[in-house]
Amino acid sequence: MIHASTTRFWAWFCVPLVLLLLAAPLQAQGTEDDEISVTTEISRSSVYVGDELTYQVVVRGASNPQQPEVAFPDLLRAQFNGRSSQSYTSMRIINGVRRSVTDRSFIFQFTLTPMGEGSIDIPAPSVEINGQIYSGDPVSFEALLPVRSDADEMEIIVGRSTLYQNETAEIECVWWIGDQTSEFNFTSSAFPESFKLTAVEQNTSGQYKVDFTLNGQPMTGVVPTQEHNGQQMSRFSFRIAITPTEVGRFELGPLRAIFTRHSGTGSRFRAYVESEPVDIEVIQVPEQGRPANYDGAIGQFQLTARASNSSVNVGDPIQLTLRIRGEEPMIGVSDAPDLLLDPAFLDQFKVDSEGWREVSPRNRGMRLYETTIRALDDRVTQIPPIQLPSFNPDIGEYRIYRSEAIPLQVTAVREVTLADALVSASQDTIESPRHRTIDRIELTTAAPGLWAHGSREEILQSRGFNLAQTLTEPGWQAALAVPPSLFLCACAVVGIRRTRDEELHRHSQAYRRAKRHSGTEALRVFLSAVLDIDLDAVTANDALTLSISDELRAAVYQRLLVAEGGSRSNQPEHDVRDLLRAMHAACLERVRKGRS
Amino acid sequence: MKPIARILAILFALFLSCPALASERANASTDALDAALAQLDTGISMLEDRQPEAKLTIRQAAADLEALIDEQGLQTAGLYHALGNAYMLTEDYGQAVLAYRRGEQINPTDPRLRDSLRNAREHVSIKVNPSTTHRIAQLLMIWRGFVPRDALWSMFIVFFVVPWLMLTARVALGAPRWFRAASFWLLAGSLIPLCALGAEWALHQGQDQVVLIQKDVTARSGPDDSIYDPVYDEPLDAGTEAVAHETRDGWVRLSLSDASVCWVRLESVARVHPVPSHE
Repeated sequence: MIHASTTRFWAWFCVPLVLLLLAAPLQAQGTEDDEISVTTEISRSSVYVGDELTYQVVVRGASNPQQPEVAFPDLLRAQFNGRSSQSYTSMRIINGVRRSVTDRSFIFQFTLTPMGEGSIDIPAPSVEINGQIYSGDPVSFEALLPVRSDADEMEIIVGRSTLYQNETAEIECVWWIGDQTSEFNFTSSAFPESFKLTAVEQNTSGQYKVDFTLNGQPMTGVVPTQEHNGQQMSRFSFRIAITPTEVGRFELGPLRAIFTRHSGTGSRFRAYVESEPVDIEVIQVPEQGRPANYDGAIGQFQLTARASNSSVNVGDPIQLTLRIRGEEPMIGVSDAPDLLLDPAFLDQFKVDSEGWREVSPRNRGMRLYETTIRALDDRVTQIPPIQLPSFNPDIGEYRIYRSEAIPLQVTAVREVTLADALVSASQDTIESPRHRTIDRIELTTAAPGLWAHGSREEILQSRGFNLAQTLTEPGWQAALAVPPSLFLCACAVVGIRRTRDEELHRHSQAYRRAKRHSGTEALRVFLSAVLDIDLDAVTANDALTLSISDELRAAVYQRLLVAEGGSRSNQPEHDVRDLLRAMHAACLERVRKGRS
Repeated sequence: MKPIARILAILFALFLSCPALASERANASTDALDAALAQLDTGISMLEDRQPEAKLTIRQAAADLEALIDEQGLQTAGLYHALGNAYMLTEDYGQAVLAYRRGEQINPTDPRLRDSLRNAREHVSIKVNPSTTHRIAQLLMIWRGFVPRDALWSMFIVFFVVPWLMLTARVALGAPRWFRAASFWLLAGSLIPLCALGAEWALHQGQDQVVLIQKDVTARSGPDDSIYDPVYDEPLDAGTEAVAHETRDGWVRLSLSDASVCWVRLESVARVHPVPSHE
């Protein structure tokens, strides 16, 4: 009974509680959804073509909204500047309870640049939050062209009006500036989308130069003063390289500069100047004379090849590096020449199936590629030249640019290189062709740098050297200990012998004592100890009593005699040392001879 | 037969059988090596023929080679090279780097082993930018790949033994005086190869170097999964090399070449020198 009533109590208590708990997040969700809002703001209602304005989408009430989707019209160039957030905390009374509420808003900012004149409508942005789409308001603004300046002129100078696809040609843009000018931009200039623009470096030394951006690329122009239409004007010019990537007829330009003009009266106003558009016809490279392995390269190139090894075994990896120099942007050279298409390579080498790997970063006017090749036969004597077919638009013909052949010495081996067995993911699509002219092994795709292990004999040798182990081996310890021990023993033996022989010991003591003095005093100390006479009583004549050679005896005598005379000897100190040493050696010799 | 004679006969028989036993053991090692290499070659041929069991065969060959190293103590650079190649072919880059490193520690002058190690390192997705100290240490060890260690040791022995003999000759036999000066110069010269060997040992063999053998290892700032945060944005890849400094509760503290320090689980690393220098 008690049990039943308890169960009923829990049922009555828990069911509403669970329902309440389940409903709470939904309610909270609903509350959050109710508070989410998306608004749009624009910094100006009218703007000059090419000038910038700011467009913001503000999302309030969401915790972490994604970037809004905005379908900007083609006439606008939009750049997303990032997201920022703001928080406001306020006190509110909710259901009679005073609470602190924090409102957070996220601001997504874009910088817009109108490319043409007219009314520009930006459709409503949309943001997806918690699976629901929220939209803001559409906005519009007016893009205006400022007044056209009659005092300025602009032109595009093109060498040829017909270009080949992927050919790079230089054009020069010239702006004759009528008066004092500032804050200019070329952002509203029109270039075909299929044209790739590259800045051309020009010699600006000694000239006034101006940096600016065109089509998002940094450029540098020079502004010399020249005569134009009979008056001195500033000529602002810059060169760009254009590379058309599609075939057809295109209109290049107009090139338009919008700027601030400073008039003579001190007033400032915005104005623009634009060039006439230039018609460009882009055609394909001719089919006549096109090499079979032509891959779209246009222009002149220089190829340099380098190999990691000049002497290898059959199958050993050789790192092959190819450097291609040419004129930027080198659109036609998207990769190095495919060696698998070159019979000279296929017959003699196993080429890495992954092809060339470009070495980053790129340097201007240069592409660096690496791959791995392996000689298939010991008859291979060189790495053949690598060929790059290219169309030269200046002469209208195809030419083949080559690297130098690299001499190679290949040694035969008994076994297949281990790395030849490596299989990569692309093995199903790439098959190594079999050639009858060469006794080759069926090889699959290969990876660079893996070397075959040695034979059994090679594996069993080379146990290596370990300093710590070596120092613990008794043989080496003996080898290190014996020579110093031998020396110490010799010293000990000689010392003992000298100690036991009184005369010898006396001579040694005399020499040791004499060495502590300098000049003739050292000679006198030695004589005193050897002859066993008082130091003060030593005279030059005592030297004559020594049983040494006459010459040496005379030298010592002279030396002491000079000292006794009170005059200083001109002989240097080391001469005295030599004399002392010679005297000691002669005395020892005499003692030893006496023993024998 | 008298007991003493019997004992002597047994000892004599044992004495005779010792070389025979040693020779038998050596033959067994060679046979096992041949068998493992043959299995590796079979695996390679199967890989060429794209047979699905190829990697299994190569893994078995790798296991046989490991057994040779562990049980027979056959630790040579060539054997580690073969083992590393087997792991490379099975795409186990952590074990491959480990095997090549062990071989390279034995013979750093083997260019093929060095290239294979470099190649294995390229397969490791984690690139650690070495710190300045590490770069300087590498610069100091630049001779390591070209000058054999035993040549340096021989040079040291000559420079060490000869001067002592010269000094002995000078003292005992009254050799010319320049023997003494020459001896001092030679002894000073012997310090060069000795210092080079000592520095190399301290930087390579003397450190507890490890290689991560498991993929996607989360490195943490302390020895616990639940308490400490990951040190890096990404997990460490198999083949990442480091130096172990301390082990605690099944974790090991590592320092990478960029001087950053982290903890990983002990089972995720393997020591380059199988005998730990400290624990």
